[in-house]
Amino acid sequence: MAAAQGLSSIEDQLQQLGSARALVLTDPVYWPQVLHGILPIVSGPVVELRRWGADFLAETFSTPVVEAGEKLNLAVACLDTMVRLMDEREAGILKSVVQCSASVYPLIFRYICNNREDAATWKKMDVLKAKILSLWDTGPVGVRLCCIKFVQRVILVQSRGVTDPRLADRSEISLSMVPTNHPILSLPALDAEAQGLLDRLLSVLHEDPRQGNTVTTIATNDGESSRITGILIINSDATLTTATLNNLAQLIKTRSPIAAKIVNAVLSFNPLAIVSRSSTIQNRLMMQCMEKTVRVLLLNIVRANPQGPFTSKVTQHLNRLSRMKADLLEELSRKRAAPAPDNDAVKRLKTDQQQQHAVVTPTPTPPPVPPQQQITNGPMSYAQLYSLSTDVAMTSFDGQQLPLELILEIINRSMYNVQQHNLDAAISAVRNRYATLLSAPPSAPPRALAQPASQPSGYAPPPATTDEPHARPLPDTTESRVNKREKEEDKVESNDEDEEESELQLGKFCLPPPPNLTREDLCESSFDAVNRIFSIIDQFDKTSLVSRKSKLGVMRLAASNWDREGWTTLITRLATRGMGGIQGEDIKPEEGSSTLQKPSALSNFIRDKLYHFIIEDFRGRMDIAISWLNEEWYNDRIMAKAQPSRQPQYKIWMMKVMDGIFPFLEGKDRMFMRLLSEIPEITVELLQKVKMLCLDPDRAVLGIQMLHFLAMLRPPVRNMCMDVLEDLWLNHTELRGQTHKLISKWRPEVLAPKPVAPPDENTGTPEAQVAGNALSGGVNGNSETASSSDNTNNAPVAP
Amino acid sequence: MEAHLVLSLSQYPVISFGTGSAVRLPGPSIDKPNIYSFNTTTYDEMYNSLKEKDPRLYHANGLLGMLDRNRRIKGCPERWQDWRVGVPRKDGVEDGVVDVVVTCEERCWDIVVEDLTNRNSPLNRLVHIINVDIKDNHEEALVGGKGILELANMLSEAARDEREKAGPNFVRETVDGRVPEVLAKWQERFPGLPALWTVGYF
Repeated sequence: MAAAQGLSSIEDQLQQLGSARALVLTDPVYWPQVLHGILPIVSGPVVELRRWGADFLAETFSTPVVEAGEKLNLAVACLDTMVRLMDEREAGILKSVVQCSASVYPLIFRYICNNREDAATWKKMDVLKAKILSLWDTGPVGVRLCCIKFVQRVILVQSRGVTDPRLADRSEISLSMVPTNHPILSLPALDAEAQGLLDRLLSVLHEDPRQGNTVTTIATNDGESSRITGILIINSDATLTTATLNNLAQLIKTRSPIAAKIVNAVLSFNPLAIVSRSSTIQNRLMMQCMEKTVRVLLLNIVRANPQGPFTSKVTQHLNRLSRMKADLLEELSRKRAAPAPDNDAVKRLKTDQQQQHAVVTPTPTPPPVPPQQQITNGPMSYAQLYSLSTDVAMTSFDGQQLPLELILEIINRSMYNVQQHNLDAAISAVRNRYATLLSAPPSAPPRALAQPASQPSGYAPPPATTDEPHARPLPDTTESRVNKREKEEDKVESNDEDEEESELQLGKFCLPPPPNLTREDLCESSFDAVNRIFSIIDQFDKTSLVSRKSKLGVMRLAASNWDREGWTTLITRLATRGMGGIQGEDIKPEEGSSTLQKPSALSNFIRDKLYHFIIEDFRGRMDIAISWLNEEWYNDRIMAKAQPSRQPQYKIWMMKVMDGIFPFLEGKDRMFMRLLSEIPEITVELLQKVKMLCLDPDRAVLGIQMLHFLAMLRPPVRNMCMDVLEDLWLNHTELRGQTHKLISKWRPEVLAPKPVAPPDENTGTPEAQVAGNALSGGVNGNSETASSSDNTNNAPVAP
Repeated sequence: MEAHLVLSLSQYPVISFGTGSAVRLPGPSIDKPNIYSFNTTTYDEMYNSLKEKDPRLYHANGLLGMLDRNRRIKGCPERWQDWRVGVPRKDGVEDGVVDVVVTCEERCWDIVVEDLTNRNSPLNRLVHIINVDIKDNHEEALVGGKGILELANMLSEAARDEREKAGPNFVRETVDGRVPEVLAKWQERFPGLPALWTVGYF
C-alpha cells in the first residue's frame, strides 16, 4: 500500500513539475524562481525526480529565452547540485548534467575572471570538470558525445581568440579575458590544459584503424557475443568521430593559434579506413557519413574564409578524397560477388558484369583459319567461304530460315560486341581463303552442291553468325555497304544458285562502282561530320573563359589554329553563312506559298546541336553562344539583302538559348551579364525574361544588375530597360529599394507624383525600338565590348 | 510534409521546415515558378492563390492536393534558417528542440549541418541529423514517408531497449551509441532510400 501511495505521489509530483515547466515555457520570467524551487528535489532520494531535474537543469542553461546574466546567477547556485548529479549511474542524467556543464563553464569562467576571490566556486567547477573528463573515455556513448561538446567549450574558453584587438568580439569568452595577475586562474596552466584537451579531442581522428581490426578478428573467432563488442567499438568510432568533427569548425574559425593543428588533424584523418577493416553494409554507410561530415566541415572552413591559409590545401584534399572514395566504391562493388539487395549500386554492378560477360564470352578462340576447309579445293559456296566455325551444327545451319530484320538486328548487335583482333583475324582468314580459291583451278561444280545444300545463296554469311554472333559478324558488315549492296543484288537477281555457283567458280569478281548517295545518306553523313566536330570541341581542355582569349591580336584570322576557337568559328559559320547558299535549293518546291523560307535541315541540325551544346554547360560555353549568335545576326543581315524571303534566324535562336539558360541562372551568375551585353541585338521579349528574374527574390539582384548594366553601357536599349524598371517600380513595391537609384538617375519623372501612372504606354511600339537597337548595335557594341570581346565584333570582317 | 503527416499520425512530436530562400512551387512553365515567402504565407493562401490562377493545371499536377494536405497539417511553411532553436513553441514541440533532424535530400542535409555549424551550437544539445534521400514526387514521397516512420520506430525501439537495459556500470543507457547500427539495419530494409547521418549539436 505504502509503495503504491509513494508511486502515486511521485506521479503527482512529476505532474506538478510538468505544469511548472509548462509555466516557465510560456512565461520565462518565472524560470529562476522555479529552478530555485526544484533544486532540493533534484538532490532528493527519488530517482524519477532527479531525472526530471537533470533534464530541467540542462534545459535551463541552454534555452535562449533566459538571459545570460540570469543564467550566470543560476549557474553559481546550481553547481553543487550538478557536482552531486555527476555521481549518478544513469546515462540519461549524466548526459543532461554534462550538457548543462558545457553551457555553464564559460559563464563561471567569466564570473571568476571578474570575481577573483571566489575560489570556492572555481573549485566546484574544477571538480565537475574532473568528473566529466573521467567519463569522457569510459562513459556510455551518449554521455561521451556530451563530453566532447563540454571539452570543446573548455578549449574555446581556455585558448586565445583573434589576436587582432580590432576584430575581437567583446562578448566572446576566451583566455584573453583573464587578467595577468589573477590569483586563481593561471594563464599558462589554463592554456596547457586546453592544449592537452585538444590533443585528446583530436586523438579520435588519429586512432590506428588496425586497433578496431584486431577486435573484429578476435570477435570472429570468439563467436557471436564478442562480435557485437567488436562492432560496437566501430560504431562508437563513427559516432564520436562525426561528433568531434562537427565541433571543430568553431575552433578553427575563432581560435587561429590552434587552427593549423586542427586542420592538419582533419586532413590526415582517413574516413575511408573503416571499410578496409571489414566492408559490412554498416561500415560502408559509416564511411559515407564520416566522409560527408569531413567534407561539410572543410567546405565550411573554406567558405568562411576563402582567402585563408588552408584553402588550397583543403580543396586539394577534397578532390583527392572524392577520387579515393570513387575508387573505393568501385573496388567494393567489384569485390561483392553475389549481391542480394537491389540497390542502385548493385544494379549497376550487375549490368557491368553483364557487359563484361558479353565481352568475354565471344572469345571462342580467334578463328585460326580452319585448315580442313581451306584445303578443300575446287568449288565452294559462299557459306563455306565465310564460315570459320568448325562446329558442324553451325556450318549446317540455314540462315535463310530467319527473317531479314532479325538477321540485321543480330549483325548490328554483334558488330558492337566483336573484338577488333578477332575481326581482323577473321577477315584475313577469309581473305586468304578467297585468294587461294581464286588461284586454284576451277573444277567440277556438282560436288560442291552436296555440302551446302541448306546454305545456298549469296546471302549465306550473316546466318552463319546467328548462333554465335560475336565470333564472326564480320564478313558481311566489314566489307562495307558497297559489298552488302552487291550481295543484296545478288540475292534478288540470282535465285538460281547454280548460276551463281558457276560464277564463283569462274572467279569473276570486279568491284562495283560506289552507288550514288541518296539524299538521306548525304544528310546522315553530314550529321556525322558535324557530330564529330562537336566531339572535337568538347575534347579541348577546359580553360577559363578569360584565358581562352586569343593573343594573336590583329594578325588573328577567324580560325588561325585548330584549337577550340578555330573549330567553334568553323561550326558557327557552317550553320549560318556556310549553309547560306544551300537554303534556297532545299525549299524551292514550296515556292507558291508566301511563307518565309526556312533554313536547310543541316543548318538547323547544327543550330540545334549548338543550342544543346551551350545549354549543357552554359557557364563554360558562353563564348560559343556569343560567337554563334553574332554570326547568326550577321548572316541575317547579309541574307536580308540576297534573299528577302528568308526567315531571319537570330531572334528565334537567341530566345531559345535564353529560354534554356534563364531557368538555371543563379544569383551569382554575374558572368551572364557578359552574354547579355555581347549579343548583337536585345529584344523586348528578352527584357521581359530579365524582368521575370527580378521578381524572383533569389535572383532579383542579378536581374536588376543586368538592367542597370544595359541601361548604363548600351544606350540604344536604355529606354527599353528603363521601361522595365519603371514597370517594376510602379507595380512591385518590394523592389523599390533596389530600383530607386536607377529610376532617379534616368527616369526622375516617374518619381514625381503623377496622378496617372502609365505603365503600358511603351508597350505599343516594341518593334520600332528593337529595330532601332539593332541598327545601332554595332556602334554601341564597340563601346562596351572592346575590353572583353575577341571575335564577336571582328567576326564579320574576318575572312 | 508527407513525412510530417505520417510521423504526427503516429503521435511523434514533429516540426517541419524548408531550406530554400523561398517556397517555390511549379508554375505553368519551368521558368515561371510560383514563389511565396516562408513563415508568412500560409498554405491556405497558397492553395487559394493557385486555385484562382489555374485550377485545372494545379489540380492535374497534384499541387492543389498537396497544399490541401499541408494546410491541414500546419499554418505556414517555415524556413530552417529562421528557426530559433529552443524557443518554446505551441505545436507539440513545446520546448522547441528535437532529438533527430530528418532531411529528405542530400542538399538539405548539407545545408542543415552547415547551418548548425555556423550557429556555433549555443544550446550545447546533441542532435542526430539523418538524411533519407527521397525523389521529389508524390509516389516517392509516400514510400519515403513510410521509410522515415519506420526509422523513427526503430530508433524509438532501440531507445526503449537501452533505457530498460541495466548495464554493469551504467543503467538506462541512451540510444545515441546505437544509431549507426539501427541505421544500417534500416538501410538494408530500405535500400532505395540512401541514408546519411552525422552527430551535431544545437
